This record gives sequence, structure tokens and C-alpha cells, in this order.
Amino acid sequence: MENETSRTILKLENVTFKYEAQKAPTLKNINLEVRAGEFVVIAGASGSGKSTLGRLISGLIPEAFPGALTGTLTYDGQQINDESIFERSQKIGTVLQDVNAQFVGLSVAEDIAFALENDEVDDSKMHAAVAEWANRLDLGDKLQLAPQQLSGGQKQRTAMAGVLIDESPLLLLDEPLASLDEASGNEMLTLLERLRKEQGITIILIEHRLADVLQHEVDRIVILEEGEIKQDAQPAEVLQQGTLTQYGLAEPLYIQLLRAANVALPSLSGLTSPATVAGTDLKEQVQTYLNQLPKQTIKPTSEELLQVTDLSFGYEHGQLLFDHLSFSLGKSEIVTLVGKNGSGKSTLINILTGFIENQKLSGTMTLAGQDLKTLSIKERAEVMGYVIQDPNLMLTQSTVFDEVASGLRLRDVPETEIVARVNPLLELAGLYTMRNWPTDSLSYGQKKRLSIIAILVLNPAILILDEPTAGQDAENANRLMDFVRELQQSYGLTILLVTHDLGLMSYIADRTVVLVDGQILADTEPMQLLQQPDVLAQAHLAQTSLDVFLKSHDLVADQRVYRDLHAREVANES
Amino acid sequence: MNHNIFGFHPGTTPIHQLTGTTKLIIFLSLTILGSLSFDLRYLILLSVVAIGALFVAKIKWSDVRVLVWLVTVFAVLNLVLIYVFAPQYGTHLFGTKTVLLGSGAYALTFEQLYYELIVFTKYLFALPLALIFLMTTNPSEFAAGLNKIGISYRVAYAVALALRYIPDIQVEYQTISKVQQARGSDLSKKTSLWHRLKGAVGIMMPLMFTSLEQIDSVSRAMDLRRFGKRKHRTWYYAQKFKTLDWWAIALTLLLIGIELVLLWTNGSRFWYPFK
Repeated sequence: MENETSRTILKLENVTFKYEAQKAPTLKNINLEVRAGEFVVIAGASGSGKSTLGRLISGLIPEAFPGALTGTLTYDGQQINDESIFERSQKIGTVLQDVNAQFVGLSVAEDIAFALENDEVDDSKMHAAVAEWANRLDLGDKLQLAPQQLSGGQKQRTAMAGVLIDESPLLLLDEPLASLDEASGNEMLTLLERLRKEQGITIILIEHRLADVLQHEVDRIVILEEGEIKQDAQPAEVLQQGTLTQYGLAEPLYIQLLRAANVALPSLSGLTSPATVAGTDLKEQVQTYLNQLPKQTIKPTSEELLQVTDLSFGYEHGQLLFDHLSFSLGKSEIVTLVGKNGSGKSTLINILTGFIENQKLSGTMTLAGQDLKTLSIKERAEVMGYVIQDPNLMLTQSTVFDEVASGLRLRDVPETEIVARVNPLLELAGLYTMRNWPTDSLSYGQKKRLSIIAILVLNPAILILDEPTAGQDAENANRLMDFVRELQQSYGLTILLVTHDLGLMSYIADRTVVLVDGQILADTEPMQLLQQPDVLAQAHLAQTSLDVFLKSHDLVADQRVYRDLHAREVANES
Repeated sequence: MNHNIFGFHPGTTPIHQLTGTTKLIIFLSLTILGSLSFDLRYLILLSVVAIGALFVAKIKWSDVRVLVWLVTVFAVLNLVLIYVFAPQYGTHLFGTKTVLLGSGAYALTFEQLYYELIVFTKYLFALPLALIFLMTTNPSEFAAGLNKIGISYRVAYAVALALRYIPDIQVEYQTISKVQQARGSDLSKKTSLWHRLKGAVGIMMPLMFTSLEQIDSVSRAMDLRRFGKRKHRTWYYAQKFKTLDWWAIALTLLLIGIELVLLWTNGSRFWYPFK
């Protein structure tokens, strides 16, 4: 493959694209060249145009998304502007962001075979090809499983096998990490590295979770903002210049640390990995920074609010999912619930909120001395608000104001009181000026905040948030979490956060509960959890890059570092 | 959240093993036969076959309970409405009038009862048949089956996709419904029908939007893998007919034969022994 790397496989020249329904172009004057065998990452915040660029490369533009396209696209020296999706898909295999929608077949085998079925490949050849690609992507023993039985990583690999089976030389992936926990995300990136080495496949990855990506063998990072390419450079160069935050992207934590310690990044070697980065006086400089951090104020332990004791639960015909599980939440505490996908986090919350009821539920759940089991879903919601992951499934009213007012109206609260309670929340969420807008016109981040205040309006003592930052870029995620913290402080709320983002856990949580396969593996302070690699591994969590860096330099740090770095990042964004 | 989802459940019973094509042929032919016939003996025979098959397929009551209740309510409503709008239809059909109760236009006649019994047995065979078909047919095999009997693969696949998403949509419906209940929308029997209807509309809106979005993404994913490029396509799950399929089809042919004989001996679609 070495001799091929110089050949340009995909080239975009002066490409501008405007969607039919929009006034201004979404992509402006894009010039991009990808050579055969390269691993290129296209990054950018929400609305930067990176998904549009992906659609353009995959051929969905202009066929599925009509609009005005100028400039030229060439593939292997041949102009491909007017090519159909079908022709394009033979050259460029595309894995879309939504793995569930991508899963067309009813089993792994059928989904991998889909493209071949459409090409009228005969039975024996098709079965052979499916078996081969399933093996290459470690799905050999999963062929007959249905999508519901697969983990996020397995679904993602099925989707990849389904396009790689075309033997197309270029693979395009749109935010493949969005639905994966850290460990699965890393596995996925390692697999991409391997495919590139073994099959010589060229990879274009669209992603905003750069911190994870940068740890792998990436050739180039292309950063988009407002439809323009702002940077096109090697990973080390991008990190040195420190422009990521400015473009709404998360900078890896260890780089944030180095910057906070005023280390001159260009002087360092091995910058792209926290384990290899090295330089003279590096440790001393970081130590100086760590020493000047203000003393940590120890939060007094608070009285217990929610208590779960000996909870056991299983579905009708299956085995027990939880066997004598116990944990508690204190007043005004922020607790994160972490663990790999499918380990029972959602089930646990659904039991607490009363969304799941069945006979095989035993144990006690008390909230401020009251037995939860005697309360209905509606009554529980008045003390314990639950914000599910997808705001689109929560919003049912036509305007923003009505959405927040809904819970009060259904409880027959007088309209004057409703206005008095809803408006301050709208202000807090930065949605007051949009109060008469239809809910569909809001951005994802705004919908997320709206769904939180729609629950908060009932004045619950506990707020439960399921993966609040999933699928959002760094800036939006930070803004949302700061909003949550503000709420916690002004209302004295207790917050339970379900997440697999250890960076988030490290700066926000007072305590963290690790749930794996229905068992609580740890119930401890975030910093203590980071010191337990075996628990992290079982929970499919990866150490934060900051921790990796500190360990390799024999440094220790506590939560102050995470909080300080977070504050600096937020300050840089605005 | 709720594990009793209505839709295809994999299994190993003889009925699960039949190919999608066989099940489709049997389902269609028996449904047509049953809706044409007004011969009580024949309809009871079909009901026995269909209900028997329900047990052979090991379909769990908890999986179909909701649908069975819905259809029962609908069937009873239908029977009542037949009486309300055409109280003497039985008399008209069978040419005699045996009043059992009351007088005038709404006099309850034996003929009317007999006619309504026939309508009821139609539900009695059609519902188990539909349940078996939906619960035991892998949507992909079903699509392959439709395609095999001459229906365009685009249509066949669209039907299969609709079947495939029934469970997903049910899960989403449950999520939205629980969230709404938490916010205070009471969908239980305690509140008025009007409130419950309003609540249901509130759930349908987000469900519709998310479903439409999903349809969009699925169709894009399918485009990207060249669905619809050629006139024909092959099927990974294309199945070959086995002995069991031939036996099932033979049984269906036998049932068709019985219907033909009955038509011949009755001289019409009706059988009324009480003249």
C-alpha cells in the first residue's frame, strides 16, 4: 500500500453548497484532498456544516437533499458531481450516524447482505461474503442475532461490514462514536486502524469527540466552522495551536492541563498521546500549576433523601437483573451513575420513577421517609423528575411556554400562578424570548433545556438526567451542564446523572455509583474511582487522558484540577 | 420497558419453520375462503384449525392479550350495530321468520341470531389466523415470500419494514406515554374518555414526528446500499420449500376442496338447516 499513498483518491475543489430551503450556503468554497490510504477526521461543532460535507461525499447530496452545488468533486481523477447515489456507493461506503436506522435487516447476517441482495448476488456467493466480512469485524458468532440483542459497538460494526462488503476503497463514517461508551469507542477506532493497515482502506471520519480520536493513528484533522475549512493539519499541529476550544470542540483534558500550566506545547514530543508526551521540566511546570490551585472545600455529608435497600428485580420469564441492590442519594448531592451500555442503568431509573412496575420487584425504596411503592408515576414525578435522553420524545405541546406549563395545567394550577412559575424558568434556560415559538423550531440543545425545565416546574427534590450531554458538541454540553449546576445551587436540588463521560463525572460529581450487569461495583468519590482500573475496565470506561498523563509522570491530582480546567474551558468558549 | 411486545417472535415450532411464502399463501387463501363462506359448519372447522394452530405455534396469551381484547370489543360492537341497522337481515337471508322475543322491526328472530353467530365465527377464525401469521413470520421471509408470488420487491420490502418497526414503535409509545403520565397526564380508566383521548393525541404527535424521521433515515441508509437500483433482487433468507411446506399446502388444498363441495351441495354460500 505504501506506494499508493501519494495517489489522490478524493478531491473537492471550490465546492459551495446551498440547501434548497435555505438562503445562505451551508458549505463555502471547500477545498479538500484525500489521498489513498489516509485516515482523515472532519471535525466541527454542531451547525459547522460537517454533516453536510459528509452528505456531499456520500452522494446523498444532491439526490436525497436537493440544493445548488458549485465547484467540482473528483474521485480517482474522474469528475463525480452528477453521479447517482447508487454509483457513488460502489466507490464510497457510508455508515450513517443513526445506527438503528442504518440497521435495515432483521439479523446481523441479513443486514450485512443487504447491498449484495440489491446487486442480485446469488445465494452461495452472498453467504460466503457475509461470513467473511462478519469474521473480519468479529461478528462471526453473532450472525443470527436481531438488532435489539446487540450492543452499540456490535451494531456499528454490522453497519460497517454492510458497506465494506462492497469492497469500496473509501469508508466514510458519520459520528460513529455518538452512541458508544468509551471502551467501545476505542475498540471501534482500533478496528478502523486495523482495516486501514490490512485492507488499505481510506477512512474519512466525521466526529466531534476529538479527544478519543486523537489517541489513534490519524493523519489529518480538518476543522470546519460556519461552512468553511478553518484548519487542515496534522493532529500534533492542531493541538499545539490550541484552536479546538475556539471552534466549539473539546480539547483533550491533558492538553488543557498543559495549557493551564503554561507549558510551551511546540517544545514537547509525543504530544498526541497523554502516555507519551514528554519535555524538559514538564513535570515541574505541571506541579507548580497543581500547587497553586485553591484548597478544596469539603462538602459536608448531607442527610439522606432517597434510600434504596435490597432491591431485586427481574422480568417475568428471565433471571434477576438486580439482586439485593442498595444505594442512596443525599440532599443537594450530585451523583453520577456510570457503567457500560446495557448494564441496567435505565432499568434502575425506570423502577425508581415507576415506569416499570411488576410483581418480581422486591426491596424497599423510600424518599424522605415515604415508601415510593405506594406512589403513582404522577405522584413520584412531583418529588423526582426524570428527563429522558431524547427530548423529542418528551415534547408534546405546540409552543415553548405551553410545554413548560403542561405539567402544572394537568394539575389544575391556576393560570396566574402558572405564568409566575414558568417565566422565571424560561429566563433561566435562556428561552424566555422564544416562549411563543413552536417547540419544533428549537435546536437540539434548546429542546434539551426545555425538557429539563418542563420537568423542573413541578418542583421535584431530585432531578434525574439520562445521558444529558450525549450527541452534543463540547460547547453545548458545557452550557447544559453549567445550567444544571446553576439549578442545583439555586434550588438545592439533588441530581442523579446517568453518563459514561468520565470527564464530566470528574468535575461535576460529588459521588459516583458504578453499575455493571445489575451489580453495584463501586459507590465512591469520582477521584477514587479513577484509581481503580479493574472497576473501570469492567464498566467499559476509559481512564481520562488527564489521569493517564498524571500517572505516567507520577503526579497526583484531585477534583480541583478537573473543576479548574472546566472553568478555564468555559471561559475560553465565550 | 414492557417485554410483551406484539410482533414477530422467533421460535422453533412447525409453524415457525414453514417458509414465509407458504404462510402467506395459507393465510390469504383461508381468509378469502372464510370471508366468502356463510356455512356455519365450515366456519367452525376453520376456527378449530386456526385455534389449534395457535397452540401449535405456542403463542403466549400475554403477547396478544391487548390485540385480542381490541378485536373482541370491535367484534361485539359490530354484532350490536348489525342488529341496530339491520335487525331483520337474517330473516331476509334465510327466507323464514321465527320470532323469539318482542315484535315489530326490532323483533329478535332466530334467523338474526343465527346470522350473527356466523359473523362471530368469522372473527373466531380470522383473528387467530392473523395472530399466527404476524407472530411467527419473520418480516424478511415474508417479504421474500411476497416477492416470490409476484409482488414487486419494493412493495414487499416496504411491508416488511413496516412489520419490522411495529415493536420499535410500541417501545417508543410506551416511553412517551410514561413520560406524559409522569407530567400528570392521566391515561388510566379513572379519568374521562375525553381526557384520555386528548392524552393519546399528545402521545401520537411526538411519535409521528420521530417515526417520520426514522423513515427518512432508513430510506437514506437503503439508498446508500443501492436498494431499488435493479429490477430484481436476491434474498439472504430465500427459503426452499420443505416437506412440511408441502403438507401445509396440501391441508389448505383439502380445506379449499371441502368448501367447493359444500358450495356444490348447498347450492349457495349459505347453509341453513332449519327451514
